[in-house]
Amino acid sequence: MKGKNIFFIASVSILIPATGRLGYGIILLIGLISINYFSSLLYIAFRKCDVGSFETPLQIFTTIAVTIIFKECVRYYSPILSFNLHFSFYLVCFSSFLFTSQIKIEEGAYAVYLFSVLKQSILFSFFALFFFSLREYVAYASLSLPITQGLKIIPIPAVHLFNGSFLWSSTAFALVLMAIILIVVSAFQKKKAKG
Amino acid sequence: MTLLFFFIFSSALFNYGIGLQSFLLKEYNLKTYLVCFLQVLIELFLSLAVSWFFIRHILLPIQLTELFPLIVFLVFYLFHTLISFLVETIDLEASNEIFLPVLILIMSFLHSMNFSKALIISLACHLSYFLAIPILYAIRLRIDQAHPLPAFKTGALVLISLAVIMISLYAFDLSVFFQGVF
Repeated sequence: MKGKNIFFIASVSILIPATGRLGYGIILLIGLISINYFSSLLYIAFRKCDVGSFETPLQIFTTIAVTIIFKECVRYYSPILSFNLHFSFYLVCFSSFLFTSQIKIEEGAYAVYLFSVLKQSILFSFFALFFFSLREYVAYASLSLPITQGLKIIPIPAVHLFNGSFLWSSTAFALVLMAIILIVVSAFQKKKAKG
Repeated sequence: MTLLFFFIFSSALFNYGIGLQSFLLKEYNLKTYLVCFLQVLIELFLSLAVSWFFIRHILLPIQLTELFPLIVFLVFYLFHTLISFLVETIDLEASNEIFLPVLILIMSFLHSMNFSKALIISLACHLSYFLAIPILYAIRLRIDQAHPLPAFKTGALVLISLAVIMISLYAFDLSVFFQGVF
């Protein structure tokens, strides 16, 4: 249940308010994985230094610091992408903190913790890629990739039912899509448990 | 207009993305709610004033404004610790009630040109989040009482209700946060 909660919390933190473009999603997910990795390493270092009650604030502080570094890297790669995503980087920061803090460290089992955080992040990234692709396809009938000039948009033949509507890229429909995914996954799990 | 915009049209979305788990997973009572509301409000205003001073008079002259989220967090955490030490308050969860005001502060700095506007934006976001709690919590309890099918017990119905509220308030356009995306 814990794992599911992390997935759900991270999902609503990143996927709902984020844009409907896959290209931006890819940047956010690269950010999530790298921020998770470096934050986990620093978290392990704090554990070894035994900082006591300062652990949580230090963890949040370093997560924000790593986010700022990542944001600057994106700005170096493409200022347009960085400008368009400016606030989303801090949403990634929040999700990253949830990932690293909700997975508990067993004393001495640091490699297991690191592996667990990376595994959760990569699994979540696959789910998020699917989510972003679906949103962009139904909203704009295209898929996009991040390039230095912004986004490279690859048009895809549209299914007439969706017919490319801005509504599908909105936050409200992201909520609806998330709800549908939750219902389907839950129904499958219940069926699997019975079978 | 700024207050209304960040209170209904945009802030709601901003908050729901981050604070949604608190609507779905957390239990509330009136005392917790009120104390939490006041505590975060005081911390938010104090932090905003002090952070504004630091950013304006220290970071801006040396051209290090990119580091402002770190200053905002440090100042907020300082006031949070101080208030928690002086008054017996609710122990806020780091994942939610500490990070959320920090994100509100970051957003108010990103979208304001002067202190009064930053103050209005942070107030609007704070009100938006705390006024949404009773509404969504009530929806959640009502759905629980209706004994939905097991597949619908995952919070899916609350998400759909929220989507309906957003559409009815015409609050589904997040373009203020992502310039050039739409």
